[in-house]
Amino acid sequence: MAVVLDDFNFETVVIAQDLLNAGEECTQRGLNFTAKWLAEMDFAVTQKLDPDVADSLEYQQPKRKGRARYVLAKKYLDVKEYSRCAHYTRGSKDQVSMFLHYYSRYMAGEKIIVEDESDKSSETKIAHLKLLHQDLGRLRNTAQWDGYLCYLHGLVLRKMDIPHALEVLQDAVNLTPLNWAAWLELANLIKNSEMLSQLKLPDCWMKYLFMGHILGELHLDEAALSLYEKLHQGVFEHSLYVKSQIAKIYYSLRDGIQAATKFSEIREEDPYCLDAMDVYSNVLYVQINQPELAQLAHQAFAVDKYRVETCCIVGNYYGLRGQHEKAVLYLQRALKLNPHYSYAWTIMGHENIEMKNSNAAIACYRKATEMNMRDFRAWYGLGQAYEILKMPLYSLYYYRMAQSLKPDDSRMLVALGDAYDKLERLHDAKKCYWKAHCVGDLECIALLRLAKTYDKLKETDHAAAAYCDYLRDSEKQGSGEGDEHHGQAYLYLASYYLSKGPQFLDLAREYAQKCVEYPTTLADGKALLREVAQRCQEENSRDQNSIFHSRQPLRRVGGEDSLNLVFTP
Amino acid sequence: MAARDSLPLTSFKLGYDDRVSPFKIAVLVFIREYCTARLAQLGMSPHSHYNSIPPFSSQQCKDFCLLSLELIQCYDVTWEDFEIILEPGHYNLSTKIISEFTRSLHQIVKDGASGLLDLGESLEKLLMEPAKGKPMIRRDSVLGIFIRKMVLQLDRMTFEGTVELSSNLATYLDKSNKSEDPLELVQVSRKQAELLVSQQLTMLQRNESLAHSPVNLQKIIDRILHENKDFAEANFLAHLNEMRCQDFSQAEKRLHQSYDQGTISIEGLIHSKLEDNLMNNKTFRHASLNMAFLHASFGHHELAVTALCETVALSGEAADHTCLQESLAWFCHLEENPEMRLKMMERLVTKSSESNLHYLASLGLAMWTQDCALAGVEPKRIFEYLHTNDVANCQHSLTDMTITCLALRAAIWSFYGYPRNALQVSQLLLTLHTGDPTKGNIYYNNEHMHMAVCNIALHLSRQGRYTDAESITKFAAGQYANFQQHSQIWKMTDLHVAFYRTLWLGQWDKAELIISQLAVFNRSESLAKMAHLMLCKGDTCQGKSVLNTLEERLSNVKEPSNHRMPNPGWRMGQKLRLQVQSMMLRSVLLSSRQNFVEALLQISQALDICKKHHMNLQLALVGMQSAEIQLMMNFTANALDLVRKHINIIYTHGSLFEQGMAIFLLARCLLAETGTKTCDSMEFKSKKAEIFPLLTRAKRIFNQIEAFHHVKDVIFLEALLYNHLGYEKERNTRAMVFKQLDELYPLRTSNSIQIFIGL
Repeated sequence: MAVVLDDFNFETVVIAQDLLNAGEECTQRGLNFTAKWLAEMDFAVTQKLDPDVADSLEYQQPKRKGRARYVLAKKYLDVKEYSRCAHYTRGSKDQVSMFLHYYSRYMAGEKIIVEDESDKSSETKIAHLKLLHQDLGRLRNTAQWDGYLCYLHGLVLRKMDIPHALEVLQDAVNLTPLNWAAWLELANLIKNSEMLSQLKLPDCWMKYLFMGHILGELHLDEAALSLYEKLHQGVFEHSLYVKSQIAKIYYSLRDGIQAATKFSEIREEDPYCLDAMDVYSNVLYVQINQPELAQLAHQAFAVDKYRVETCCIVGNYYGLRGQHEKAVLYLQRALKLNPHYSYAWTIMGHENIEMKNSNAAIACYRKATEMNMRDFRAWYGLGQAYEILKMPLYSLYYYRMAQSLKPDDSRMLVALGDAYDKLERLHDAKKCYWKAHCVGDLECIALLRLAKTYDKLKETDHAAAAYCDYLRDSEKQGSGEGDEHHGQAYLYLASYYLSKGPQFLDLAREYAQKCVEYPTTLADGKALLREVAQRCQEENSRDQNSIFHSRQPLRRVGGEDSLNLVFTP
Repeated sequence: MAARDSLPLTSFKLGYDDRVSPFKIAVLVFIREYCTARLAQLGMSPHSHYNSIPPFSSQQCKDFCLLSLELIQCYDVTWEDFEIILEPGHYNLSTKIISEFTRSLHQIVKDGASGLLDLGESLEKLLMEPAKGKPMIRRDSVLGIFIRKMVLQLDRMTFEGTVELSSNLATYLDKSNKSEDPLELVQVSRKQAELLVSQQLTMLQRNESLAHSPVNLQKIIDRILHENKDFAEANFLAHLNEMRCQDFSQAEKRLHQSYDQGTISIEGLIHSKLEDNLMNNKTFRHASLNMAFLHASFGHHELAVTALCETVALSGEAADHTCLQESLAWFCHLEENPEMRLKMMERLVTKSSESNLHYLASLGLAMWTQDCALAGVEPKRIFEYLHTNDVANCQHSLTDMTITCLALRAAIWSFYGYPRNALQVSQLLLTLHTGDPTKGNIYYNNEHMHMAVCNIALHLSRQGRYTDAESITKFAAGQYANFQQHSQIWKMTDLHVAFYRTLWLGQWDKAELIISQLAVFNRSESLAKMAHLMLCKGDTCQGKSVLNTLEERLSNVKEPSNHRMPNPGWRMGQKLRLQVQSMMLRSVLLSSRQNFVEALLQISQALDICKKHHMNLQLALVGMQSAEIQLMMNFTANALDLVRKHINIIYTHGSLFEQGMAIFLLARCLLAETGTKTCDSMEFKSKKAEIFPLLTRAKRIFNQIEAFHHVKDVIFLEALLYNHLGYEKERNTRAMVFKQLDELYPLRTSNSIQIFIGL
């Protein structure tokens, strides 16, 4: 899904004005998190403007009846007295007050649910949602209907798991394209790129930010990255949000170094920011950067110890130190703070795998997938857990799910190939390994596995070619020179050439000599060398005999004339 | 079998169940009102409301007890439904009580939290206050326990809980707030959901027609899952439901979901220590076994075997004999090679009986019996096995297996060519008392019952009672409308009968249409019928090519099966039957091309198969076919001998059609014999006269089964004979009848050789 950015010709001043207006509108309606996000963006965009121009921008406050009533209600909302707010705005005809009325009713219901969750009652109560749904449905097609009310309606529908929500939220973003919360809710409902391509979206600059977000969510990382890069080079140069999104995508693309650089830049600029820092902790975990992670954990704890991100960071830190029980403790805390935080469920699954508790891991991962269907790590984890339990048929299913979410990730493909291999479906395994190699396999495992699969299928020529490629690629990357796999590869090649005939004896010797360099294949290498020497002697004596009988040219030695190993599976 | 003992286990947490719902409050109030009234009648409490009413009759007391029991056990119903239950007609209750009940419920709503608290107190009084020295409700009775539990819950409730309950009660009683889905308003507690799920599971296993329809069941499950996200059994039920609808991908998804959740409790993950989450590998073994079941039922043979291997590896590690034997049973089911099957079954039976796994032993023995019967073991041995099995089933009260064995017995009888005995067993099966009063008294109504019903329909058709048969098929269609995976049984029976009926009427086009419908369910069967049709039409060319395809298909060891994988025994039985039929058809084809030598060779091969497998009726029919061909060859004496040899078994067990055909053949043989032997005209005439009763009988039979195509043949022969004997008047009447019939049932082409394959 390529998003053409050439038509991104919005003027910076317009964007700044939009952000200012939207920020005010959201503040008036009590959508504080959206207002915060908009303010951040506004701050970033304004830095690109001439200070005079920036100062000249201002929000045109529309005339409003019943100001005193509105202000009272708003204050009640601000101090979280939702029912009171709803009471004072009942029957109001003003758009903003109406929104306040319904929004406060919604918040009142949510507050009760959250409070009850601590009482461990599992039944979700949707009575208030139903009433809201009825009332908002009635308001539709009236003069007061606007994008914010539409957004609220969509939110209610989404909470009730009604498919109609997609349509309503789409209307909401078309009516008020500057309401970022509506975009985010819409993104939650999109399951694949087909759904995305069928959406009718307004022609607004906000669309590009949404596209970046959703492409990232759908793991279409390359497209998302190029989009964000362009945004970053343009108007949103100073936006920390865009920067953190870029960092996240680098992490998803397994470019840990770039991701870490971006994140550390963000931290330098805004040391008290905790948003997306859980991803940073993951990056550091993968890089095994313990000191940095320790520092991050320390600071996060200082900023706010009851944020899920903080708990997650600390969990990651303990995990890296190998103190898995403590890690789980902190992840449990994160989940107590927010049971819908799928990230923590996934990490908890990883920790349980480390502690060899597959059952718990399975339950955690399953929970994570329920929270977020697109979490390929959780699906992959489920596959691993079942693999540990020696149930390859089950793990196959999960690896397939993971692979379909991330079709171009070699790790998924290799895992899928391994599962097929265990089920003795070698031809399928072969396809997976080959594809893994084609999409760019960083660890060079795919070629090695491919070679072994060819060997099992008795396709020796292909196997030898795959081993050759494996050796070449891994040498190119300079990884693991002393790796035992290399020894095995050399061993295989040596015996392959030995069996191939007298003209390849030199190659066989060459490979056998390399075998000797590795401790695991030392003995085999030596045996092979002896055999090569013996064969050479036999050949020499035969050659000498044959020279007298026939005038055939002596055998040529060299790589060019060796077998033409066309490498196609 | 898959659903037995292999449910994923959700770690069930106390505290979820017995939540006080508005419905429960209503039940409590109802009980209280009754008790107060009763106390007033006994003079124990001078209550103003009840002093005037007459004492309850014993029927009223009994009805109250039954109703309250049901109300305690059922899941929450809406207030409207509750009112309907209380309406006169369902239960015999005093109207005064009902009006008082409604009044005091509304009073409680009005009073709010205090009303609820008062209710708790008054209930406790009922348990303690003496009525003639005894409390009104005993503490250890069903009602007592229920009330104590509820009072405990009410006591335990915080103030906000009580307030919430009272507001919920108000919404519950509020009729203005109606939703589109009546189920939406009521809450289902965890325990009620569990009851619902286990009831539906039992019904799916025993009597699918009692369970909810797939769509409704899915809706219910969705609702349960919406409230209890990590309820593994519900997901498992959804999995079985998807299997009913033949939706593989959803079924697979649900299976994974249910076993992922079934491992440990999610609550435990957040709130408790890790030691609580002990390894529970039994679940995984069953997960694997169920995966095998899933693949097997969708015909993924290799995947099923892989899954079974996995199960064996897992259970071997854990030394779980039960699981090992269950997998062995599945291996037996999936194995194609008859010798291997027998070996594995022997092992299964011995091992299972050693480890006291009676169900599996019995199942193994049934499979063993079936395979032995198909392999041509002596019938007396087979019936001995069946008897042993019946005794074992009786001893261990395996109702499920008793049904299976009876179905097997019926199948074996009809395989041996004794359809009457098969019918008897089928009827026995249908009248069997299979309900278990301790388990909800659900009668079994599964695939075997369905087969038995179809058997009876088939038998009636064989006797020419088509309307009766049709009504039975209709019954089966209605009864098994939700059995999507088994619906093909009655559909196939219906098509089978319809095919022969149209064939006998000479409606070739219609018959062809039926064959194309049949091909959806059973390709081999449809090919055999197609060949039959082609030969009847006299289209030997096409007939030959169809026969070739059929024979190729039959000789293939691994027959490409249709979507579902049928029982291998059933497949082997069908294969034998079709082999014999194809040989008979081949011999007809060859003799119509005057290649009698090869035709008789085919016949003798078919005879061999029938003899080896003790298929008596089939043997007689092949003998008849042989006689028919020899009659064509003018080996009259031979033919007559053969007919006389085999006709008795056809008289006793053959269908009307087969009897008619045999009689007609006998008549023709006798006629041919007189033609060859004597020249004396008187004797000739008297001999010929003997044939007329036979022909009349054949005609009557053919008329009865509406085989007008064959009636025409008989009439034609009669006319010829009368002509030969010089009875011109009779000849003319016959000719006229023939003409009339021919106008009604015209035939474009036809074959001169009779084929002895029919209903």
